[in-house]
Amino acid sequence: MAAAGPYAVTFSPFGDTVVCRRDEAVLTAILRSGARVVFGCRGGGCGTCKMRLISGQVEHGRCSVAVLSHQEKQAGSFLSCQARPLSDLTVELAAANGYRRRSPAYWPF
Amino acid sequence: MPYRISRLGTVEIRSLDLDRDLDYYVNVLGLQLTAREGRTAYLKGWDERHAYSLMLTEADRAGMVRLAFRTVDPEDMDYYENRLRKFSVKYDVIPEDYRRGRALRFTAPSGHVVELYNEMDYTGNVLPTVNPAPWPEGLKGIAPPRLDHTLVTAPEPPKAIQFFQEVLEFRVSEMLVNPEGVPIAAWLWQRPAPHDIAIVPGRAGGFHHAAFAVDSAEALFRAADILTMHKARIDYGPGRHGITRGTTIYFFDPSGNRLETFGGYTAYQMDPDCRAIKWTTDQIGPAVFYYSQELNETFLSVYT
Repeated sequence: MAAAGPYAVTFSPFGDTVVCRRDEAVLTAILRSGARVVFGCRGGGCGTCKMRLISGQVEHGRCSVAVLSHQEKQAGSFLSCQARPLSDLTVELAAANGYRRRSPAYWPF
Repeated sequence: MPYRISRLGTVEIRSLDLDRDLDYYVNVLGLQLTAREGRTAYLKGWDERHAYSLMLTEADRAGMVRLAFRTVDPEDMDYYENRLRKFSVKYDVIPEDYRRGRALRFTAPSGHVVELYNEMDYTGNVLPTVNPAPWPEGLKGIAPPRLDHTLVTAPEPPKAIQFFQEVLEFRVSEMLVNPEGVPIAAWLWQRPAPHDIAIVPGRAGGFHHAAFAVDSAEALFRAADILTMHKARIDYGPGRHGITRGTTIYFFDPSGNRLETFGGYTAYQMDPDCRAIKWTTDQIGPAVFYYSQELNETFLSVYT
């Protein structure tokens, strides 16, 4: 039996890490941590939450080929609203991902 | 000018997983499943009297396949065929489709496949036609009575708006005008309601949303409760649009297509003499989302 997670997802170039369960989407883990990234439909249809893997493996889930092609998958891209981790991941966040660390205003105590 | 389009008759939307999405459309959105033929399911709201208004077709991507308007009279088909010829719009005559008669099919400058038809099997709504109750008991989910309108994206909105105005004789109820005075978005009507179709800037053929009517504030908030109970992705709302005055919830189906429950009960009734209302782009926030007074990150960028 393969390990069932949870897995560490580390963001480059920020170095921050969130914990992601085997059965939850990478985006869900990010939002649960209080950090923010840009996302859209959360159904694999719009492609807004696309990210790129530097290392590790994901299960892609159901994604529109119009926004995530086979070639893009081969090159490491994934839709964070659908992708589940199969290992610890290192993920490159670009400017378009609009990453924001958890704000102190989120829970100021 | 008489009105010749009775309503937005049907939309065909792509599903990444038809079994999964049908469960959502039937049990969460609460549409009536009227048939399933291979990779396409046919659905409608409980108060719709024709065979279907939504086709859900399994595909490898999300988005819209086509939209269709129903004409008021059979003769309006000839009228529009003449107009398509007059404006040199290439069209195909589709002899028949599932439970539907002849249609004229063409591509609008927005990149959307648009059809006009008149005949579709008249099935009645779910109520009896003699001594009916005002509404049926035992419906599942949000259970909107009917499809209301659609919003699509166009790379050159003025061209698309002009096409719907000139060729199909829709009228503009409201428009969003940039500082140069050019309309970059428009809400278009024939049925006496604020819009049957609207156009905003974006990719050719893009599908922004299809809206289903809800008829009261109570129904709107109940819809929000149901979406949340099922952990659906709500994009915005419950809220209100400045444009149309309608109340709204934007949300996404499991394949990422945006849907809306549109509360036309707060909107106005159109009169043949109604003239277009203008919104300026510096007021796009309250124009679209009246209470938050600013656009969210998804309205102009997220669609399928």
